[in-house]
Amino acid sequence: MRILLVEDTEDVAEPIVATFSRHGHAVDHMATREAAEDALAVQEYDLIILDLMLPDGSGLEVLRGLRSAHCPTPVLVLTARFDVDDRVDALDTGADDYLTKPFDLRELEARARALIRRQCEVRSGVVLYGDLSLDAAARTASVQGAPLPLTRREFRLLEILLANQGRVIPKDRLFDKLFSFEETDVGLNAVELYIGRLRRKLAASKVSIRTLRGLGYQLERHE
Amino acid sequence: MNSRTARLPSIAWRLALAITLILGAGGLLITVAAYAYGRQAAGEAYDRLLAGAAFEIARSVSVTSGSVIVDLPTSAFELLALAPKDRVVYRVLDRHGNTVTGYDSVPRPPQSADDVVFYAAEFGGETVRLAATRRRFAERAYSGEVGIVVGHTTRARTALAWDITAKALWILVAAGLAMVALTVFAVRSSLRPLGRIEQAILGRNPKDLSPLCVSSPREIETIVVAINRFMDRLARRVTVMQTLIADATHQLRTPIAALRAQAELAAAEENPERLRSIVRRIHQRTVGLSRLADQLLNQALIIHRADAVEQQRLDLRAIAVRVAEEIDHDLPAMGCDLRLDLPEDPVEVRGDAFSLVEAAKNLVNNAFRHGERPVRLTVETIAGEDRAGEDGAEEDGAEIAVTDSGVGVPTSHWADSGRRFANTAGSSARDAGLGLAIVNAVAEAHAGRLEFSRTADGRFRAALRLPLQREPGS
Amino acid sequence: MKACCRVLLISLAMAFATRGVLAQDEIVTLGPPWNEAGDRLLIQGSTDVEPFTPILEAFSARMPDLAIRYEEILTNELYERTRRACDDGAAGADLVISSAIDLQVKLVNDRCAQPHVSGRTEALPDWANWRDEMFGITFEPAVIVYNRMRVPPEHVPRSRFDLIDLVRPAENPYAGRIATYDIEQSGLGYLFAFVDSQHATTFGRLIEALARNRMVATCCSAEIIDGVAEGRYLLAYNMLGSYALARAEVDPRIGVVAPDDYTLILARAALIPRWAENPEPAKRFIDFLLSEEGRQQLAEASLIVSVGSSEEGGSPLLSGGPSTLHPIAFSPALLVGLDRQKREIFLDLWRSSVGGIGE
Repeated sequence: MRILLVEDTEDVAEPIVATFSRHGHAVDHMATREAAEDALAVQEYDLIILDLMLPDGSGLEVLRGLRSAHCPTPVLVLTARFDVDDRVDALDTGADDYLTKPFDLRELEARARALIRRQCEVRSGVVLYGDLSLDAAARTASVQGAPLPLTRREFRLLEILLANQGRVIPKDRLFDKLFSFEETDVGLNAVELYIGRLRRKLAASKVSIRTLRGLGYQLERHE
Repeated sequence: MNSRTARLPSIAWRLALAITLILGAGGLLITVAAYAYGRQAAGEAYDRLLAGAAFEIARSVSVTSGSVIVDLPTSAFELLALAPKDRVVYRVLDRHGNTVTGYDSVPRPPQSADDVVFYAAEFGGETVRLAATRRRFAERAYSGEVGIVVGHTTRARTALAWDITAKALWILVAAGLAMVALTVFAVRSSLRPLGRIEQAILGRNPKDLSPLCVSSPREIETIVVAINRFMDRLARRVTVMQTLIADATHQLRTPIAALRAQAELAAAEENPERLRSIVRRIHQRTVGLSRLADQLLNQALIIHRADAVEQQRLDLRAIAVRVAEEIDHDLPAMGCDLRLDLPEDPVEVRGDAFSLVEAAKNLVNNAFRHGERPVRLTVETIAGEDRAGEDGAEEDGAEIAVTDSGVGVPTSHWADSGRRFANTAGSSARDAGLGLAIVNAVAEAHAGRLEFSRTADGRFRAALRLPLQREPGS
Repeated sequence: MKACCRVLLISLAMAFATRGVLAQDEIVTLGPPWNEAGDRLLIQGSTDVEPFTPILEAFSARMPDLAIRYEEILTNELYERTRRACDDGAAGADLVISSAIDLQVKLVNDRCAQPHVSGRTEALPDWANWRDEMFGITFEPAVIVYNRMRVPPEHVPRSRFDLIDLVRPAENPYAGRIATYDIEQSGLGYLFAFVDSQHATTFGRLIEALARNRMVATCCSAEIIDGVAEGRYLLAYNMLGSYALARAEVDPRIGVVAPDDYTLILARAALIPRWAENPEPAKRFIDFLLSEEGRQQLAEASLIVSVGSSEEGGSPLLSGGPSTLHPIAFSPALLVGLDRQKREIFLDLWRSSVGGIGE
């Protein structure tokens, strides 16, 4: 793996470089934003570990530049403990995960591994939830063994809900995941429409979609 | 950072100006009234003169052989001469309205039943005030009335009216000036306490935040009270910070001491096996120390926010969602086990999002670390209930609660959950205590409380209860 | 020519001649020629030309470019002319000075005068300034004139009471030898008598006493004083002091005394007619008359008699002191005397007591 580490504090960077190197990865260590951007211009990486607080700017800028160039490299952002806004901004700008300082090296390793794995993973495998089963590769779903007829979009919606099972997903996040930029004449109420359709199709199962007013939707299973 | 606040004009001057305007307006009214009164008074005075002269002349009228004889009394005219600059007119009329003597051009009086009737006319370009009276005769040769009209120009009465007005005006001006002066003086003297307050504040030691003791009138008292309240809050924050620092120093001292000792040991250790184990211990300590520092900082931040940050309306469910997100992130292996049970409608409270998230996270972390799965995070509205022995009914509340299947906090400790473990540090059980201290602090800052209970199916429940904000209109 | 025609002719000629002489005596012109002058001042007054001329000359000396013309006119006619000019809105005299102050008051009362205010007019006492339109410029007492040869000093009446006592005895040398103005003819006489009548008790007794002594009511100051000087009359009552004093200075036979129970004081009144053409020089003249120099001139003509002790320069005549002085005040009260009915009543009273024109 080729990893880019953007971190200005020497004492923090050294152990990270050492650990990943030990595991056989190649680590490029940059201490400034400029250096980072230069490196990104010439090299492709499998993972970027990005500190937000850089001497010559914000790591956010690097991230923004990266994403606007449609570069899909996974990014793990290092943030200060109580900086909620920074963290949220980073995730919104396109970071894949974050870690607050001070952190355990082992945790960093684990998350880095997970990120890389996610990249390599083909969407495969069957997900089970209650009496619902979803085959990501085959793009089919079934309830209690009986196939569930779903349109492409409904399937995608179900997939997203399942990925976030038990959690509340806001409507606009669903919108972002379901529709692309080009589909400009679609409004948020399209999401409501699809939720409604999906709900009807799941009426017979033990799985249901809850609407939490003002918050979003939650996939739930009953006993 | 604050731009210079504009300097408002002096209170004394503003008041003086306001009073001057009021006095000016009032003074104008009074002048008009005084003139009206003056005119009336002067008019009445000189009318009496006219009436007197008319009566005197009337008295001197006699009838001889059918003709009217008037022996004009000089005294009547001397009476009229009391209005020194005025011209005089008079006319005596017989019963047919013909002139017996006097000025023909004096107009006849209007009809009236009164003894004396007053009216006006023009004479030589000037207005003349006339008084007319009658005398009845019932002689054989003359049966009827004789009319007597006396008049004079109005210079004297107008002069008197103006004189009265002028005098009233002088009094007014004098009174007005006195009032303005008094006001300025009164304002200055009543604002003197502010000077005393200034002296009291400037005179004290900058570190002294004790309440001001300045005797002042009720109106100024509010400022003194406000200043004292402000200083009190400041003093409390200073105390809290001092306590935090003292606390932190105290709590950090032991682990840091231990760390140093271990590091020293490590520096001297030759044996690689033993060295490794020492370094492992050092690592554990630093992790523990890191966590302690986090919690101390957390606590400080929450306390700071309680004082400094304005509370806002927010949906308790959103807090729960964020808690779930952060827990998912922090404890990925355990994340999926946190169930989120939220009502479909918003549950509104007033508070600080950061503090509430931290408090709820503390409860969740405690549940995962010291309790047993499954762990559930819920948000509920609780209807108010009468508490026997407490004053009044309770308001409706909102709760964010964490339930787990473990033993939980022993029932005997439920009463003073937070305070009990406030001053401990380091180990996991004590972590829980400190965490609960933070939750307690957040509860207090939100006018709520931390409650422990057992659910119907025997699970342990730790809840942060807050007053429910009713939606406007509901 | 027939004798009668000649007599008639001569009489006529004399009449016209006298007219011409009189006409000359009645008018004084000073300064630049009247018809050519730019600044003019026409004064009409009842004061004799002779005593008044020095005063006019003194004023003219101050205003050499002003053409001044003074016309002496009898009080009644003076009143009529001024009245007519006022009613017609025509310009007549620029200044009218008259001893008939009741008539002057009537003119002012009927809005026929215009106001003038100056430092000097404001210094005048209230009784001598009415409405700032009428100003008292002289100070003349009403006196008793007597023949110094024929009247023994102890008989000289110092007061009206003395006079009454003097003529009380049934046989007294003054019966038929006391004169006064005929009040029906003389405006001044009427004025004095009328004001006297305000002092009701004294007047009643006086008139009764004088009437009993066959007082002669006749015309003219000159004639009466001549009569006293010649001995035809022994006493003359209520004479105008200025004339008597002027005569007494040159004629030792004339004695003058001011009654000290009260002495009437007459101030001749000057007014500026409403429609006067040249009010400015008139105002200037009034101020002159009220000035130091003017008053001095008037005093020399006996038109101002000083009050006070002899050390203060007061005339011995008025040594009774200011409390005995009764100036005739400029006030509407003077209109009473002019009232047609009142006048009738008063004259009736006079006639019934004193009788008609004397010898």
